[in-house]
Amino acid sequence: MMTKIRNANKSNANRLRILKFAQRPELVTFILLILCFWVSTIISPYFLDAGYILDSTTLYNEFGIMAIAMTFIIIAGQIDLSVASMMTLVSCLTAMIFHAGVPMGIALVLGLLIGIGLGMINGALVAFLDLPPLIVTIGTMALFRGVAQIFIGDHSLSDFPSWFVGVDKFVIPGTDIPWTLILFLILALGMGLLLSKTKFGRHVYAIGTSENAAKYAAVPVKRQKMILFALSGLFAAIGGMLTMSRLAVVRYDMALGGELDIITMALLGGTDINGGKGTMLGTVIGMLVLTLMRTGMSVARVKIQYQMAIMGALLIISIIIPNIVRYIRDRND
Amino acid sequence: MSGEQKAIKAKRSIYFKEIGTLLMIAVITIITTSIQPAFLSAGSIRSILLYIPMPIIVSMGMMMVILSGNIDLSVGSMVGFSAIMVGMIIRDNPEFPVWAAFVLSTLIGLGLGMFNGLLVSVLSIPAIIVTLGTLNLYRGLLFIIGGGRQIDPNHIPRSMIALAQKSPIFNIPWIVIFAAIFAIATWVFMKYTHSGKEIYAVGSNSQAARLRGISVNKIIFMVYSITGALSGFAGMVYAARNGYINPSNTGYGFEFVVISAVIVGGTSINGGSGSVLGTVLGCFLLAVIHTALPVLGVSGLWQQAIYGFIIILALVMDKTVQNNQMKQVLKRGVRV
Amino acid sequence: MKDRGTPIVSVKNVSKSFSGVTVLKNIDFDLYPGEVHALLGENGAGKTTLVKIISGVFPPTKGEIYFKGKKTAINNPHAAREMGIALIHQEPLTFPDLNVTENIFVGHTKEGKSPTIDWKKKRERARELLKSLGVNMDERALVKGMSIADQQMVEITSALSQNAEVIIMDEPTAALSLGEVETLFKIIKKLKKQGKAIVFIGHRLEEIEVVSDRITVLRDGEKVGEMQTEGTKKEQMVQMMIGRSVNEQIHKENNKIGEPLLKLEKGYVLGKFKDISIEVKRGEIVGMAGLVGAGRTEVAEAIFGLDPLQKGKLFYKGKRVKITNPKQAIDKGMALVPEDRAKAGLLLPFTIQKNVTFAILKKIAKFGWIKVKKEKQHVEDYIQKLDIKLRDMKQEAQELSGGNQQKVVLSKWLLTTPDLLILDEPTRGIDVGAKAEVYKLINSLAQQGKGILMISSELPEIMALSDKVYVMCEGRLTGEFERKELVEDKIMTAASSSLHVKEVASK
Repeated sequence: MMTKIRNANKSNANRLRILKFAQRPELVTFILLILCFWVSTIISPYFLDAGYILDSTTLYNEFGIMAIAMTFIIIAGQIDLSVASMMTLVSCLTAMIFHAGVPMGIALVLGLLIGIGLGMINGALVAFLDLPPLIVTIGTMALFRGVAQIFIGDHSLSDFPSWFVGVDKFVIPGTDIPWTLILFLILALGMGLLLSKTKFGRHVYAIGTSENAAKYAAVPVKRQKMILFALSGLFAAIGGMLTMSRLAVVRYDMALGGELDIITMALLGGTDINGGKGTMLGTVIGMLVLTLMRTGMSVARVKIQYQMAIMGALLIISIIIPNIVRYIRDRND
Repeated sequence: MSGEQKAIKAKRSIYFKEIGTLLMIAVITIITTSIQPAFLSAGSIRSILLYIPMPIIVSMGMMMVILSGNIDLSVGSMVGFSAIMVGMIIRDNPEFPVWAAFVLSTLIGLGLGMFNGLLVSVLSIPAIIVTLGTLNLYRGLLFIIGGGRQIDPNHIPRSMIALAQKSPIFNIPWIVIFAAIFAIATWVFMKYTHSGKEIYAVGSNSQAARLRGISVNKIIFMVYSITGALSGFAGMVYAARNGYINPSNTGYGFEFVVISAVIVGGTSINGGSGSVLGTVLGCFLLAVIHTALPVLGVSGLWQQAIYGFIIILALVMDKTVQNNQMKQVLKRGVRV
Repeated sequence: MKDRGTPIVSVKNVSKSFSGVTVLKNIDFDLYPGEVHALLGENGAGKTTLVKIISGVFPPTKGEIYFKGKKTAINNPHAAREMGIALIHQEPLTFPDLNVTENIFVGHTKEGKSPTIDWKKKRERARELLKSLGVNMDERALVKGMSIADQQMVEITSALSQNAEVIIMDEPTAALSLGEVETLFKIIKKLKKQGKAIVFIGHRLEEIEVVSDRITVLRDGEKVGEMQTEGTKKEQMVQMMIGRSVNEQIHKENNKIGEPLLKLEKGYVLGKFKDISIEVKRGEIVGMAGLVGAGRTEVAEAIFGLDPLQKGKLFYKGKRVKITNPKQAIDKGMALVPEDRAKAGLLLPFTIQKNVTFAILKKIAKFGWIKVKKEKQHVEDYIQKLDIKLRDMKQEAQELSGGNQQKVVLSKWLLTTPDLLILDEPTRGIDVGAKAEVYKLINSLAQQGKGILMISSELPEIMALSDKVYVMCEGRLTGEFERKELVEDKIMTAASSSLHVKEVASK
């Protein structure tokens, strides 16, 4: 008799666990991914070739890496619209430093530091001056790209050392898997673990849930925010360098509008724009969805501007869906 | 402190921000003129007058949006979209009257704005997501519908271009008069209509507004719709001033200009406080900077950085003023 | 009693429940024009709930409301205002960026068919209304930065501008000073003369005596008494408010009091409190009594480093310390269980597991990596110790009842092994059974030699548990009592003792 009850309780608990799993936003994203995949294979048989898909990720791994940092930022209840501009400014400055005679390796390191510095500007304005992140990063979005424009003008810079160029072509020997995809996945895994399994990660969720409650529990809110924005700058720098390598050229208008793609990746993955919710796994799936969509559209010869329209609509839809899910869930409670 | 003394202090501080903006305009003018006396010329004035109409017109709407506690990043794309749509019609129908072009453009903008408003108010989607999305959606759509072709100068009716050149009075071009009319109309609207004041109320304390029976959704829908309509009108102003319409350039990046003008003009980013006068002065400030740069030999490449810098500077100053006010309140204190 | 005609508002047999918890039971309440009817009761007695029902914030679960003799349903606050019922909240709901006139009229600026507003006329009307109340205020002044008192006047005037016939004031004097209370009472007198009906929720018995005509006392959601103010003694009021029901559950265990643990000398924070000197010894339970807004939470927050002391000295374990952030406080062995569970005590969407361990993450993490097994051990340990009723530690904290939520908060802070525990309203919003468990816990903590500083607005708790009681009022220390001197009356007096109200009462 007791075992019957115990078993019944266990299966109830299991049922609840399955129900909770079914309500996870990443599931919706995953379904979306399958959908995208199916549609793209219809558009073009290329997509049945794993190698083709893997190769297509090389165009979006950079944004994916930046979306990793963006996930942290959004979960903490903040936003950073200046990421694409930081990426561009770092790339331009790195190129200029190299052209001024500094060895590329050192220039790259300097670039990373510059990225962190730019992020810290955002961080100082938001965390210490207590200014609203949205408008601040709208301002720095213009400022950083503007500074890039000042430094590099309308020209493009290229002539990078041959060892640096073409990183997107490198694959794991014997396979079709690009190194940049591996880099993205490793960073996602590492940062994901940081987010879900460490004290730092819990603090991030806490700040996005209730800054007040976090303060009472001695979470160093200001310092934490500063670190997150600096992280965003660092990852933007990494993204910038990968792009430099892939394109072999820098211009002030690189990655124009990139923030849209990056934020969409995070939101598609179930990260709640209001803060407190989101996972790295979701962002990774979101990145894959975006990659498939963009690549699919390219293959289908959809013009860039049309893609713009579709991506804009996608961003809005990415919020409507969780809203609907939540609405249905609250109705059923 | 008696009620009267408090009131006097309050009145003085009301114009604090506008005076600040005016001072900045004066400072920049003086500095530029001392470096390059040629700045103070008819050419400069003309340049300022031609720059000003678009920012003024659209910033009236943006001011309302920010006053209500929201933001609109899509104004540039709304300008472009309505301009291209009407441009296509003008190109294929050279007899199309100019006044009708303006009306149509405004209506198209209105529709775009209404879509924004619906998503933010009824669907409760955060303004930044909606308008970041429509910024791209509208820009993309204008390519899809417009085919990506420019509307060349020879397709723009001369009577439209004349609006930027001819003037009914004091050599002030028609488009500037339009802008002035919009500014005055906005001032009247904000001050003397029920909805106008309710916009301030919603931005100042949306919870209290709801309890007082103000339909917050209605107000939000309204401010986005107005902003769309004004952007539409500005689309035709663009055509008049520039003599062509280009799907990539028209309105591109315009949101930065408008947002900086509104914020530097003293409208608080948290909503609830701001004035038409301040916003207009903010536009003048940007116009003066825009005109002063080439005179000083600074290339146009600096513009974007300057806009960004101005936004941040305005935010910091606004915060400093707020902090000081808080200190005053605490000092006046409740009990101790 | 002369015949007063029909009451303007009449509430019959009204009950209200939230998620199965009943907060109001079978309340009858009526209000006549031209009278001030006071609602008296402890925190949580149901006063605010009752007036929220009358002013349309939410409907009653059971029962009927009659307005001017006719049965009515009041659907929302806006509808209530249109009917003539206005609620002046404890924290005024004004528009800081608008001026006085605009604050008074916005939302109902329509007069006739005109699409525009005649501000000149509105300003005149505002002046009239303000004058009718005897208020000296510039109708053009911005509301931003105005004192609570002035903001209240604006709200009252706004209610009048909509021809309110019923004005409900929820703890209006909580944050007011001498002159302001005096002014408010003058205004209430004028309103009475104008035939308005006023509901006055208050705590300070001297004020109630002065301003009200009738008193209704609520306790634990039920009406325990209604009487004419004249002829009623303060002791009677206190007795009704407090009752005897909960007291049986609280008793004090013997505890040994040791050396001084915390000492604050002349603590001061601008605008919050002044000249506060308190001391807590090991094993001692120190109660801090006072009314809402007295400044006790602010003192606690200053000690804990959230809003640090600007002047004054702090001593901990005999040594002089300076605490400027919570981390320092926690490291030294202090813990603060905040007043507001939802906003400061818990991260509601977080799981119980994560909430319980949130303050000791450093302890269970190695180089930042959280050891889940250790975490779960700690959580299970306290689930057992405090008997927290839940289904699964992975449930979200917001799914728990108030009492169990409080246990989670307590677990969180107990895990930091503090020597000094500051408890701010530890039994607010929790049921009787859970309350008893909390009292048991407090007693055992004291027996273990911990120092407890307990802020509470519920006198029974303070009286039953404290070895020593401090009383604060309006940011100042107004009383200090040892256990043997504890008399309810004296505490209440000290708590309501604005040097201020006494003078008003004597006028």
